[in-house]
Amino acid sequence: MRNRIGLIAEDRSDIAVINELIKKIAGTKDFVLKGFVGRGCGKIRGKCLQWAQDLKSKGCNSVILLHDLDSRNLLELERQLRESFSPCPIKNNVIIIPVQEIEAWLLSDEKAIQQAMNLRDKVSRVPNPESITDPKSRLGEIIYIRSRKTKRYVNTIHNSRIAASLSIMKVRRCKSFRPLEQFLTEHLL
Amino acid sequence: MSVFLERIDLRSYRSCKKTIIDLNQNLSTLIGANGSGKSNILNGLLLLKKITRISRYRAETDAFRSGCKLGAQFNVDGKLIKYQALIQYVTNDRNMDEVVSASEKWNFKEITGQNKWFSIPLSSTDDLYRFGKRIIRHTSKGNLAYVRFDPVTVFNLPKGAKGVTIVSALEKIHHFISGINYYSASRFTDPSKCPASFELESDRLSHRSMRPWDEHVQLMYDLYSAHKNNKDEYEEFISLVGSEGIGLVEAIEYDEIEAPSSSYQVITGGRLIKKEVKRTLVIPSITIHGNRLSFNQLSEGTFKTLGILFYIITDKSRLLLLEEPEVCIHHGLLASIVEIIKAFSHQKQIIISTHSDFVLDALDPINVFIVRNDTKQGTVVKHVSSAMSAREYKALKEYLNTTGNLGEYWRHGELEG
Repeated sequence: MRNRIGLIAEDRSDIAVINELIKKIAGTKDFVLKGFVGRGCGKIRGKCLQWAQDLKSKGCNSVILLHDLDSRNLLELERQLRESFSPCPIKNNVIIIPVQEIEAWLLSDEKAIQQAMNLRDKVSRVPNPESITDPKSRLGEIIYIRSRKTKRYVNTIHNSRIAASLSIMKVRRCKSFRPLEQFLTEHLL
Repeated sequence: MSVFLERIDLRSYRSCKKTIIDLNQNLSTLIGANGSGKSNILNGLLLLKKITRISRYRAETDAFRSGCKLGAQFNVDGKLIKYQALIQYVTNDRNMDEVVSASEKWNFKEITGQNKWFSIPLSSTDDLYRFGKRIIRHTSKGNLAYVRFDPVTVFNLPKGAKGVTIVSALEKIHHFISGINYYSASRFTDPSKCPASFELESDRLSHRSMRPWDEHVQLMYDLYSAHKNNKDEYEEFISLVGSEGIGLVEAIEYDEIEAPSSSYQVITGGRLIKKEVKRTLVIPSITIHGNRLSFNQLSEGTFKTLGILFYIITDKSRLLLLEEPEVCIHHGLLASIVEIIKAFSHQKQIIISTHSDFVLDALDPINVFIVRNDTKQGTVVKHVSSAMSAREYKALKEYLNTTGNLGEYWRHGELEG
């Protein structure tokens, strides 16, 4: 039976990124990803339980709640999300908080950025992506400069493209990614 | 940004009886009901640009002229410069204003230390030091006078470094104002109005191609012109709308057919001079899902998205006004357009008006201004934080953190009271 994975995230590009990452982790194993998009913290916290119930009705046997840290306090955000997400109707559930944003995971692989965006100049390795305060802007700067100002990064368009080229080995440099990989390996695949 | 508009103050302009807005340096979003005055604010901002191009052919005694007062505060390299103008304007049948005259004054207190107003027409602040001699138009009488031009002396500015700083600031402001651009949802409607081709005469759009006010042909020409002369920006545009980006189109191509022709000019004495003119017929086509289409076969949303994105990317202005960018655009695409607007607002000041709760969902409350029309006060604009009590604003923050989105909050009527 195909794994049906539920995902509650902030926007559609997050769902597209996670879809690409699951494909890489799953290898040949088949899965279906069903998602809900909150477009903001409040909506996710206010609706996540209801959406999890809906995902269960759609046959999801696991659910991921994804929310960027965005300069908040990690423990506090985790506590708030856990509180909003309990009692989760799907037993296999996990809360994933990319630090500071999911774009930090994309920054972990310079070759993926270069290849996906077809950049003219070489992209340098970003030493510690999770230490960057605004990874989205950094990614935008890299793409604009390394394309010699001919390409503009738009997260909603380009995140999934970069994610499709990512090396899981390199994303592991981001601590906040590891619980996702572990969850998928243990419970789903 | 070395220059941005901090405040605009419109008095007696359409619904703006006394409308003051303290704008954000990057993105300001105007929301409000129909008829609240959002478009009037954008048109009022455009008056600034029109002052730099006062028509000396328009009679000041025009019976249909109106008067208004416009105030502005510019931030130039961290210094605040105040501007005030009493404006006479006429509005044409396309609802466009033309400035007939303006009486203008400037205050440079943060540079000079003195709260003194200087009478300086915006139209004469362009490249003040470039010409030893230039024309100054006395707008009150409409006549022209040649003067040996030294702005410090002519405008009675302080001598020395302060005068030089003021002149430099005025040049920057002129550059900023003359580059104000406005794009509205109605600008790129009905693509069936696009011709299948257009004609160039010596690489310029021929008069035969250009019908008056034909912005559709202008967009087609601007795209072609960028493709020929501005490769990097064109590449950036194609990378966003093409398969590497939102996938709206696969390719835009331009077939060119050259047709040399000649015309004759008769000079005094009856002698004929033959003039060779290079004419080029440009046939643009857009490939979508493998089908090669003319512009007039595009859907409304595709045409509008192409137009808005092209001008957002290639627009050189420092202040961009966008009216209802959401019209006819699918929400999936709109999310990308809002992200593009947000990205460009770090390079140029952008003011948008919107009716879309979806657009609002993607914004921070700090970017939002509420516009309403009060029977007595006319159009009133308040930043979302000052439109609410401290308690209400705290409740909004709490709502955004725990329950829902800004657009949803607006839809429930909580933002506009």
